[in-house]
Amino acid sequence: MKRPVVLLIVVLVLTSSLIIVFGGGCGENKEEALVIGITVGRAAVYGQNSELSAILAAEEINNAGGVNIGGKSYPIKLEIVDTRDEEPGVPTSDVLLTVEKLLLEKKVDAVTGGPSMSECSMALLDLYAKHKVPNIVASGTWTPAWSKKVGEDLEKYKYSFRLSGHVGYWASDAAAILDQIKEKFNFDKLYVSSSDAAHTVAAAKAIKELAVERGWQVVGEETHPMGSTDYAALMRDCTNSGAQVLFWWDCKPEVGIGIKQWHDMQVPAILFGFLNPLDEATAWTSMDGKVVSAIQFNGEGGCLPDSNLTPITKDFFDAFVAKYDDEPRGCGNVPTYTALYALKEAFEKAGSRDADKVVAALEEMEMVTTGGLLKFDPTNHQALYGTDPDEALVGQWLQWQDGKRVCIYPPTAALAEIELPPWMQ
Amino acid sequence: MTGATEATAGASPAPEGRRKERLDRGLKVRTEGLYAVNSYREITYLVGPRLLLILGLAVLPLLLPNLYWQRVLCVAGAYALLAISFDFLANYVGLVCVGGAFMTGVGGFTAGIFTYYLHVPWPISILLGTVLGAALVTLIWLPSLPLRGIYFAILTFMFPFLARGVILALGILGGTEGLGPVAGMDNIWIENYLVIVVLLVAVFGLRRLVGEDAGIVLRGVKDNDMAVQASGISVTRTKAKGLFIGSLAGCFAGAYIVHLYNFMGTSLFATDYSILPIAAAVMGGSGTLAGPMLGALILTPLSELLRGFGQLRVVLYALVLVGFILFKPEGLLNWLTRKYHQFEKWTKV
Amino acid sequence: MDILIYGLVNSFIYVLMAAGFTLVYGVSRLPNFAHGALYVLTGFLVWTFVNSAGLNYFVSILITVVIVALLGAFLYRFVLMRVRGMPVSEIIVSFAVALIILEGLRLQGIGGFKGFIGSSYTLPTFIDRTVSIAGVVIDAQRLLIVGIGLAIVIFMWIFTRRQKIGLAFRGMAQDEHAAMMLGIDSDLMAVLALAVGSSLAAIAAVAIYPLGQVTAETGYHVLNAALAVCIVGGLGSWMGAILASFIFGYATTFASFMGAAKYQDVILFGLIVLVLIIRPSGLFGRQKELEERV
Repeated sequence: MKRPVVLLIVVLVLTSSLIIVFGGGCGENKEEALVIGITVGRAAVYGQNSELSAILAAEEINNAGGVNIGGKSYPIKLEIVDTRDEEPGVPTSDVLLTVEKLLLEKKVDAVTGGPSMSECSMALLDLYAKHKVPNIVASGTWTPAWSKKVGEDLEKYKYSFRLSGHVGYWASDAAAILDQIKEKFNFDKLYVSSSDAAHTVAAAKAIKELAVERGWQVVGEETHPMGSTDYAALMRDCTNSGAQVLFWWDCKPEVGIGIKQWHDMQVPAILFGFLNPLDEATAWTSMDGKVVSAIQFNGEGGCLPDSNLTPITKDFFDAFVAKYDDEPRGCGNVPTYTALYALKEAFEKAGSRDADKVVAALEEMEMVTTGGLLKFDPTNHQALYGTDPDEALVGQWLQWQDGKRVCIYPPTAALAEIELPPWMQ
Repeated sequence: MTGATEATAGASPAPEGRRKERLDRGLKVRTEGLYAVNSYREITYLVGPRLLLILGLAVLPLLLPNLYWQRVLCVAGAYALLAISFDFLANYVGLVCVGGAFMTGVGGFTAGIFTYYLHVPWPISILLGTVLGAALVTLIWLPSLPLRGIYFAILTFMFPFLARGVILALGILGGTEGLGPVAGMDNIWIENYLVIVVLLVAVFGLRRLVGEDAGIVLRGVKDNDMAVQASGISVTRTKAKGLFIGSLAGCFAGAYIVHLYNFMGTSLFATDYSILPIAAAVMGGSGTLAGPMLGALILTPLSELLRGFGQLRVVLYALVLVGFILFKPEGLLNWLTRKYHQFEKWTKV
Repeated sequence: MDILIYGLVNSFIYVLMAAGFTLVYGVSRLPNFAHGALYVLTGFLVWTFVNSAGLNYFVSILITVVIVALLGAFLYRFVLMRVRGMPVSEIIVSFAVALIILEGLRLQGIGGFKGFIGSSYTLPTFIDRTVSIAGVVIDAQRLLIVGIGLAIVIFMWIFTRRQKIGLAFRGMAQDEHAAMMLGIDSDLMAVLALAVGSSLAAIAAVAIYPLGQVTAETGYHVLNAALAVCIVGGLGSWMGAILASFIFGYATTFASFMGAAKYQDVILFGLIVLVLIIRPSGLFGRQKELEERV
């Protein structure tokens, strides 16, 4: 009889896995290591970036002797879980359950990483408040609503910090770049486009207001659904409107189609914004050079070759390339890497694993990191971003020139001037 | 399920010259009559499985090792309700509904609106969300009720996307960022036992219902709607009633999840709420109502166990599903029921 | 003029995406939810052959189309055949296979495999230049899509009217029982239909992917598009599918050129719901209208 055997095997496998889970889950590693939960949505690049950088940082810290809490050294133990946010069809409750696993079963001392979807991070705030675990959002979640919600009830949400920036900062960066363009080429006509997601629409709106303040004329705007596969209408409109700059904020890989159409239709406007495919270090080759002169937001600073924001920027970049044989992508990498170092610092300063002491240490923190000087806003726990890496963290903007990603903003880190697309010169 | 399907299903190819014969157990035959109440043995035989289910579920929260697994039980309970709803609609009303997410969404948002905007206490919100939500779902799906089979399935599959699109396009109800905190139950024992009690009520209530006259009409609609119509009963109206009853379970799941996580957002319309219950129903045994519940109570924790594997988890999950459909299409509970009531032996042909 | 030309291109994109699905459903009544997954698989296979194995672009396309066709045949023989006739099981099994393929492509860390994540995977265009037609600038690849789409439609037309196998396909589509009485092997036809349908998905992928990035997410998108087209056109109906493709292609293009791109999705879903409610069998779905739909 075959069936009983199969059944027996199934039962055995099930029971053994149950034993592993139930037996192994009950916080036995509490004493030997500092357990840090890393929440990543593996399906998206943000989550992948976070995971790679977290592993890199933890290895570095452990090789350097671990975290010294109250005179005793503990290695960092990462508990990486896949939140599956950014995947189609996954409910927020599933993401929350993942984090509950970290909090309740793995008994983590702190959490960092994602999720990168704003809805999930917003929902998580209440969960963290309930379980009182220090956490740092360090990948995506660029909505200003996050810091607003924390700011409104800081006492309740005091365990939550955000190291990734938010759209408000990037919009003022973008406005400063528009200033540069206006001054250099004497342009003043702008076309604003975005995909139909809350954060991209918010970004487009913010940039529009800032541009108008600075004497730009918004000659056209449009919104398209996420993941559109044809951008001919946008390109035609943009050409006809006489715009000289096309500001475009979209976070889906499909916009690669649009970038190629922009190049093929020779739209007489500088392409400028945040477009997922431009973030890849290999974009020039994979898109046949059609990305030439596109200006792209590279996320939180520190991921561009030859950048020297602070004395330790290059160390991160080189270590990353040495370990993964690949250049780091923009979003999520540096903040997660920094978050682990910030947690190390905070736990050492607190001298214990007490959540309130760690939070206090994070609140007072002032630390030179890969992407600039790290300080949290005391009113809403948002890491401060600015334009000078000696005073705050910075976001970096790049332009594709000669097959390379070249930093053009902020001015303190810029390595080249903004160029026009070849067909506009 | 007969021996013939078993053989074609490929699990145990019948050797030449003999076949499997199934006979009812004597005990089963004896307990079919009124005299069953005469002996403890026969009463145990009849009541045993039901009692086992009730007691099993009742002590389950006490046996779980930590808070995390208790939360998993809550979520599994919500999926189980959706699975029961799917099973009821598909096998007793003849509506293959692949839009469980629409029920969770409508029920969740309805209940959430009461708690979040109007500050109604959660028990009343959940109740209102369940009843009003189910009414709303029935009303919205009313025009599509004449459809059947795969057409109804695909249509219901689209509705969650449509609802989500509308909420995002209009920017109402929190848009992409959702709304929170929604005041919730905040007590794990209440959370656990609420869902368990509702589950038991749903399973036994629906099993009772399908045996009553109303249930016979419902099944009539599924099997032969012409005959039902000829008897002077409106098919669409009967279907609408069935849909309302089925949506009650689905909408409760949505309302419950909102209050479990103190949060509502467009992800209440997530496809997982449509797909996972169907998988549970397939695994547990279609048409048994209790089977899909068991399926959900097994599949949800299983998927939690596999979480460490990343994408591999989804792959393994899908493999389990394919395996079950191909090699055990009758599902767990039907198989167990057969083993319970009958014995098998090989006979020479 | 822009609307006319780009609408045509987008219509043919829909035709290409839906062709394989509608063929399979027409012949074997199997809703192949793994359609989108085969499409994505094609993209990654070609990419791997070109970039890792260093094969010639056209050779890799040829190999991939054959592999995907075989895969489709296997899918029927070893999986779908067992559940044929049980609609719910058909959908679940084929969708599960889709999940295995799509999520499997994103697996990381096994044997140094990084997983196909991100937007750095692209297929080269066949001809890299732009053309201007009546003042409308359009790239060659898009024109090629129209060409390939037309070729497939014409090929299928001739195939189902002149070839023996094609005629058998049509017979199966019209009345399976009668076809079986005439000695047509239903299972063999279904295997062939899956193979041809899968290779159509592969051809569509090769034609469309050079426009943008190869990502696993496109699998779900393609499946949705195919479903939408087939429902509106009437499941299994060729003419219906083509007509529906044109409706969708022009509706979305019109919306985006009129500045209402935001509502594309709502328009799409709205159309589907409307068609299903008003004319449940779709625009061209005559067969089995009474038994199956109302």
